[in-house]
Amino acid sequence: MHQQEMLKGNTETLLLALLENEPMYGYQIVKEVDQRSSGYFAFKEGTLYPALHRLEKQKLIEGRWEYTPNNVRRRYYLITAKGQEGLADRLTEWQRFTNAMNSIMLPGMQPETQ
Amino acid sequence: MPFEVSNYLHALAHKLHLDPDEEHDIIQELEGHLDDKVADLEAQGVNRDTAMTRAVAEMGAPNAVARGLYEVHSTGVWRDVLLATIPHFLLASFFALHLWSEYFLVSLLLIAIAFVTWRNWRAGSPSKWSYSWMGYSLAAPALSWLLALITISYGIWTLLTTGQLPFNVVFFFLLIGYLPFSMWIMANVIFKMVKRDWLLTSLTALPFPFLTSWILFLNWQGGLWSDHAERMQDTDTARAFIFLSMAVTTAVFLKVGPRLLRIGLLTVTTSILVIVTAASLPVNLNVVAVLLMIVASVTFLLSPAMLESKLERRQLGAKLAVKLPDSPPPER
Repeated sequence: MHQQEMLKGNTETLLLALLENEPMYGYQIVKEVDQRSSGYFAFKEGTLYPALHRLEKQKLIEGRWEYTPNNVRRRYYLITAKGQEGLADRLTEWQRFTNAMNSIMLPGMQPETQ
Repeated sequence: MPFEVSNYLHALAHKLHLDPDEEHDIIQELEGHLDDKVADLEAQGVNRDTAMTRAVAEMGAPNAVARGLYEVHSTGVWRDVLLATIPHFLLASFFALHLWSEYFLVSLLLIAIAFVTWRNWRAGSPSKWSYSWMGYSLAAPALSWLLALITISYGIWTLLTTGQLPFNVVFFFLLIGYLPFSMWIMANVIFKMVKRDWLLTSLTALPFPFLTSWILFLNWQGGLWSDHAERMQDTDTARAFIFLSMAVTTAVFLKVGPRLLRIGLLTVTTSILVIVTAASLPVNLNVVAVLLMIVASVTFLLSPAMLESKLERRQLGAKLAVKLPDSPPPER
């Protein structure tokens, strides 16, 4: 339950980070999150599309219909230049946030540098 | 497409209330997702029926998913907001500058608004900003319908009391013929809008209670061609404020996503503007009369919801009639 709340607040950053390396379609994103987090984050699938479409509306990502080799039509999302800038800002903020949290919650731990 | 998936997507599409092209793309994307999920689960050894049930369940309730998508797609960008508020601003400035009795200018304005609306709607996929324009485009047939009704009532009353029509018989019958004609035009447009989204129809109808009250006020003061023009201009400032408020309401409506907020916004704005209208009249209306006016205006504004639910029931009935097999002949 707790990780769902944490995920909810960071869904858009997570999506931008996932799309930074390669374009992906919705179901692929769900699988990728599940795989990379070893099942820790389970995306509520119905919430994924509003989040993707919101990012697209903000021009942080771009959706494109493409046909797979076996002729299945899929909507792939790729990060835009504006999205990359936005991601860089969010990651910096994330770094500062986790450092501040760690310095309180785990006082013996060295802060991470970028 | 399997029945469970198609049923789910149908329920979701029904709650989207978006542009048909947008809805089509969204449904295709979700259908692809569900197909992938079912195929994945089947590859893991889950049987097809269970896989479909799980795929649909893990996507979430169709209402909730549709609500999330509606909130993203139904909000307008600033360009939509700016364009949507223009007709309200124009009407507000006409009242503020006491130009409403310049009938040539008013006609030009209505023609220009109708032209822009027609250009935007003819492709079949109207923009978010164009609904407020459609409201004023419908004002011409709606208000002329009201004027025709008032004139016919006056004609019948005079005929009954004096035995003579106050105007030409041909004109009288032309007016009677005009009533169903203008109703037909309005009904056609309204049915099309309600099929897309009753709430956008309500936004379109926002100026109607106030334009109607204005026409009734003018009629009460002696009609459009009355020589009491100066006295009738007393309410112009209040009316300019009303149309200005409609511009603000339209802008907020287009920027907020949740439907409940939008419904609340239209209800509160209408109630406040009815109070402003009542306060601007040169007679003292009691609280009960004002409350009745508020109830009538809000009911009128939200009536497209009832129309949509009626249309839905009719569609559902037609679907069931198609799906139900003919009953087998009784066995002897």
